[in-house]
Amino acid sequence: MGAYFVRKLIEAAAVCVAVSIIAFLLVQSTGDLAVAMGGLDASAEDTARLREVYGLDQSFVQQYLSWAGRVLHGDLGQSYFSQEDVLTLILERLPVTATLSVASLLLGLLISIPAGVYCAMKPDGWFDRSCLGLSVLGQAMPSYWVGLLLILLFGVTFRILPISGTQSAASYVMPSLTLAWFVFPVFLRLSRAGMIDVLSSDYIRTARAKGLSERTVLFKHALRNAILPVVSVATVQFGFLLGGSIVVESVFSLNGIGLLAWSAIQRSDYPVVQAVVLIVAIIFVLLNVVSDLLNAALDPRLTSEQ
Amino acid sequence: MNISSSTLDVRDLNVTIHTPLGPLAAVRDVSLNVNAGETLCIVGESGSGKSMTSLALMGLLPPAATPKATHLRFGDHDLTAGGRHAIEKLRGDRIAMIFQEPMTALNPAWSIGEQMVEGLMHHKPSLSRAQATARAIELLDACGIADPEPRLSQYPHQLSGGLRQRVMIAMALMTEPDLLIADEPTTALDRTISAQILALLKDLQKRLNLAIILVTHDFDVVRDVADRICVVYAGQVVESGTRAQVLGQPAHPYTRALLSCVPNSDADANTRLGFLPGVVPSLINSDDGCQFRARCSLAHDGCAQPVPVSTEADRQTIRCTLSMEDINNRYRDPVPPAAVKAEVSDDTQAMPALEVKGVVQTYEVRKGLFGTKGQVHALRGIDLGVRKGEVLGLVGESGSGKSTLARALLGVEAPASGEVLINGTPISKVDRKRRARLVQPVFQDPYSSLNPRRTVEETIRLSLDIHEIGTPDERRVDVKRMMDLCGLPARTAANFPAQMSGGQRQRVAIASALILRPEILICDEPTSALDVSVQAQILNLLKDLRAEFQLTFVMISHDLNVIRAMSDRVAVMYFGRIVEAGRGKDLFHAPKHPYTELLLGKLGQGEEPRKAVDFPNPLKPPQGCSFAGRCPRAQAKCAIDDPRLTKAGPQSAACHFPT
Ligand SMILES: Nc1ncnc2c1ncn2[C@@H]1O[C@H](COP(=O)(O)OP(=O)(O)OP(=O)(O)O)[C@@H](O)[C@H]1O
Ligand code: SF4
Ligand code: SF4
Ligand SMILES: [Mg+2]
Repeated sequence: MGAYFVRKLIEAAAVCVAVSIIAFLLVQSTGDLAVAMGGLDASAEDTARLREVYGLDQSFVQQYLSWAGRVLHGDLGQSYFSQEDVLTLILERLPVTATLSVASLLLGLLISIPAGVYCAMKPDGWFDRSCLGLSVLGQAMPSYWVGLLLILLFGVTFRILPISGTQSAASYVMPSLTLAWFVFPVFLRLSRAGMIDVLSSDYIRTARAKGLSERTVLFKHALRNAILPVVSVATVQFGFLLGGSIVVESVFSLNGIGLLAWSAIQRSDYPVVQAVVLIVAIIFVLLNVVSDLLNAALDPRLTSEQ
Repeated sequence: MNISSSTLDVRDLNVTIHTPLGPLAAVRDVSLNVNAGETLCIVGESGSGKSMTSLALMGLLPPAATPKATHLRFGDHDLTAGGRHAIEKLRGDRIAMIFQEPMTALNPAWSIGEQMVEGLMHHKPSLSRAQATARAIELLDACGIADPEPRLSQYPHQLSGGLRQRVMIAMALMTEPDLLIADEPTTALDRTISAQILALLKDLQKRLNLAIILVTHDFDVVRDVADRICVVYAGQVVESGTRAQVLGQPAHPYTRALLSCVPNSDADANTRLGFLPGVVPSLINSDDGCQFRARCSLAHDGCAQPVPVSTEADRQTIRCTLSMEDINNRYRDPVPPAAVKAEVSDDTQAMPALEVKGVVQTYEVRKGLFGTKGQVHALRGIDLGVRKGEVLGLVGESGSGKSTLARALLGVEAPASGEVLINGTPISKVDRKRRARLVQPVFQDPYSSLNPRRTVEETIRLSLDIHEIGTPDERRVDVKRMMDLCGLPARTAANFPAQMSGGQRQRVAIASALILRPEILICDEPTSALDVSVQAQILNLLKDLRAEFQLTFVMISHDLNVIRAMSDRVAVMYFGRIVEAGRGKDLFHAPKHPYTELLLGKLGQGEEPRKAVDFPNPLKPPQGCSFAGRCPRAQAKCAIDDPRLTKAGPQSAACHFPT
């Protein structure tokens, strides 16, 4: 287990470095930064001075290393637009996005895994068909559309939920539902397919042959193996949820990372964009480590010696 | 026999499976009974309904299947009226079952210990976990697992196939059942391991007075363990009786034909095997007549009517319209064994068609990031020569390096050292295209080795297309001829593999291997996925093709009967080495190496192999003889001194103390 954990951490660190290089290049490749910073009417000397001040005349490698050094000290630069510290900007908004993503992930899992299991028990039954139908709908309807629909229904018609802002827990209900709706099909299909697969496996037959109750067979023997793929994919989906929050946060005017990134892109505020890319990517990498560890805990084959 | 003393008594069991094409009668009117301390073998070919019968007895049928029986008694319980649910109460408690695949039958996510105790604790809630664990340890020990306690915390993937099957047996016995149903319990195991498992079952049966129903397609297993035998064909019991009756004086035409397909000790490279033409009929919407009539040499008009079951005093029961006497007078084997010509050049000085010189193969393995790197020694110095037109049989248990050697012979994997020569030229110096016209492989699994999206014709023609041999018209003619030679009807040309039976697919694989007219064919377990009657057909085909094309063969198998029936010369492999080699006649008649004797069941009295069954560690080959850990004849010298292959009688053996 120890060696496995260390290996996963080293892999994760390597990916983080790669991601940071990409994030760095992302901004470099958007054109001449000095020109971008100085604006169109800056004189040639002004641009040259900017270049020197910001170290833009150095080699790529030098620039990257000094940038990476600053990042490691928590200095992600300043917003071109508001001159605020980027890290502060992000840390202010992170809790909103995190709450939203975690809530919608949990909601998605809580609905789709039991549903998937139930579908697998009676494939092609009425419940299975309706769930599959719903999940097709889920994939066909874009999340902003679902969000607007929810606003119309609960915010405008029934007036039971706030339609924007982050004042109370209730404000998160509709955004989380919207995002959960978005991940539901994936989890449903995975847990259903995993469960159908596992239920037809030889070891389930063995468990039944022991005369165990159907509940034990399902929950002790089948579920644990069936949700392995769900655990791996859940982290990937969480990354999508962070991405999806861009849309949902703007629909519900939640002041989260998504909204921040959206406005930064519109304003070509590169330091902010860069920092969001970097931080989201690192969160993503860390989540992958978590999912590997979860998988390892669920599947002894991954860690024990032959 | 006193019926009321039976552990299980079933009459007229029927299992119907609902398929989109109509009802499939998987089991019809099967009656069986088995007594305490007795082994009943159900034997039959694939699809004959063996598994459906055993699953029905366990109440584990798939949802689409409906069972029905006119009489079902288990001990004192009359379960006839209770149907499915009645038997479920006994399942895992009074009736236990073990399955074919030890590799997949245990749950990978739970430890051995947990999986062993949970059943017992479910059925006997008053037992504490400690008591259940103590019983698990006791049973693992009884099942020949040395040092059982640490095994309990291990997971299935940490055990070898043989160990897993022992665990499965121990697990099934936790509740002290009265009846054990074993569905092909040793089919997936090596012969030596299989023999141990069967001996274990017999031993446990004696101690626990267990009734055993053993389902198998393997007559060697039946011969070893059966007290009574049911032969099933297309869902029906066609013959049943004691082992002596059914094997000694088989009565039903199907049993006789099937037994004539099993290669026996008379078979050799120069005889075609007896075989049973035709295939098992579809069971969907089948009629009530004798299901065997399309293949039966004695079939007559009356056979289309429902067939009565008949018994004669002191004889077995058969299901046939003819009396045993009639059958006896009229029966002839459908296609009896016959000579086949095979030309091997006698010139021992001539250059071998295929030569292996000092081939060593190692693979790097690594455990974890900081784990130690190691080398698996797959082949540890192989020397071989195969003369033109000769069939060399390679036999050995799994892990002995047979398939690694096959890959080296095919030139698809270069050995770490040593070389393979074809007609004197190193295979490494022959380019791929040329090589393909010299050697071709035939693999074990005709299901996975064919591309599912190519038709039979396209599959066979593929090599001609790649090598641009002949005009399209010529290619078509050649493919037709090859299909004909390989016994593939012309109408199957447009079929996809999914539309063919296992035997037909193997014919396609053989035809496409031969279409380039290679000189050498390397067959890796070509029939081990097939039934005996189909196996006989394929082996005969290979014999005919050998004569037709003057082929040189390397035949790899773990099945000694197949090796005996096919090979001029035989090499026995153990742990990456050849431990004995010689002419088939000599080697089978008077083996010299203790391992060959073990394989042939010819170890002398008091020479049982030692309990330590495990192979030596391939990461760390032992200094002395690699067989020493299992060898009943091992002496001090064997642990230090690695024996080399040297002359021993007419053959050669790698042993300090050959027989
Ligand atoms: N789930 C299923 N659906 C439809 N048909 C099935 C199903 N399972 C088995 N069958 C059919 O039932 C018949 C009997 O099958 P069964 O598995 O009992 O054969 P078997 O004698 O055990 O064969 P094998 O030696 O290959 O294990 C076959 O014709 C098979 O195709
Ligand atoms: S009933 Fe007829 S077809 Fe069937 S085995 Fe007897 S003789 Fe052959
Ligand atoms: S050398 Fe010794 S241990 Fe090896 S097979 Fe011969 S007698 Fe047995
Ligand atoms: Mg079967």
